Amino acid sequence: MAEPTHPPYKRSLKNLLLNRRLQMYYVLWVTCLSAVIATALGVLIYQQSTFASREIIAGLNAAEMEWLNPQAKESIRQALGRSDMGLAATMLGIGIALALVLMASLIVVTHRVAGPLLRAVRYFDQLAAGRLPTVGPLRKGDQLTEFFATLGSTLEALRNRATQDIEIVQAFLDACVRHEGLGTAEVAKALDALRLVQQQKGDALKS
Amino acid sequence: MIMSHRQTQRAADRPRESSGQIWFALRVVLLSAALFAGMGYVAMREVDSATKVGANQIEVTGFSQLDDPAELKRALLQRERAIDRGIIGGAVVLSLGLLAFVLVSARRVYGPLARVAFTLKKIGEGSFAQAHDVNEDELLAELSRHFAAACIALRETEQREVAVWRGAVEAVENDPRMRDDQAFARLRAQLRIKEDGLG
Repeated sequence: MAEPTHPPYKRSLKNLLLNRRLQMYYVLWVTCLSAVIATALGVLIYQQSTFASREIIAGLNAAEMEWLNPQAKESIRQALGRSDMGLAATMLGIGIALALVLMASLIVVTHRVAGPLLRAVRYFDQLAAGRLPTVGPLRKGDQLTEFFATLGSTLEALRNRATQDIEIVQAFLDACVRHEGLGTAEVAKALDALRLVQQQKGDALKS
Repeated sequence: MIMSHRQTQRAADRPRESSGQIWFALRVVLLSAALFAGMGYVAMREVDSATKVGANQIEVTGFSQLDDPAELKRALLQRERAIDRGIIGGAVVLSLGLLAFVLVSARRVYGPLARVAFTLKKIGEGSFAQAHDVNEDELLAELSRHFAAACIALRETEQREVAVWRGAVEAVENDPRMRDDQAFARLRAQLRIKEDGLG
């Protein structure tokens, strides 16, 4: 089976999203949940901030405030309105910035899972193509170390078994050479097939 | 509850989820908790500042002319305390909720991964009989597909090898010189192991 070709991996910001499905699942869920929390906190701050404004604006219409001229009252209303709007805009800006920071951080965290998964896929492709690769170390901070230990020991066991098979078959082929007269056409065909398998096994180990 | 030997063996054979699931969940939650804490701190400071500004506005806009400016300030302070309690309590409850969500959802990653690891272990032990089922709804469906293809390829290679080895054994086994040959005996023993591995 031909091994699928993968584009070479380059470290770049774009490559942080290695497994869109997995990474976006976490990024969107956690960001949405955090956005709900941030909105609730923002509403609480806004309500507290505008509570005084609302009370003052309501108070301006009271009979006790008749001494203040209408222009001054309007000016106070506008100043309070501007202050409240400014606060709302600031909170919205901070909220969006925090959501972006959270999304970026989550992409980095999930990349530590997606990266090893991508490597595992490449090892599986090599196995499907008939190769027996050795597993290299993970990058510092990568997750799935336990899984990679299992993958590494499995591939090591397969390589050891292949090496043992090659030794056993070679010893058998040598014995066949020693025992001259085994050379019927049927035996020769069977031994040729065995040599071919032996060759393929050796090739699998070289990769 | 005491488990019988067979139950213990079955439990040991079952695919297990990795402790990495907990670490992954903790990383996500700690990251979010740090941001919540920062946001909560900013929110509490803003609420405190809003309370002070409100109290100041009550003074400067001549609310002292009213009957109850002190009452209004008290109401502001009470609201501030209630909001602070709400922020802290809400952040704690939501962080725990987030931890539960990430732990449960991480099973969608570590569950299928544990199944792959389980089959990998079996392959490492020389058993190629397992087939790996692919669930397209899983988050790791792509990994599962590639792994299933690798399992099929390994099994097919093993089946091909066993057929060739068997052909070689059958071709020479009737020769009397091979009967006591050590290399032939080893080949036959190894062939039996390989056949057992195919189930």
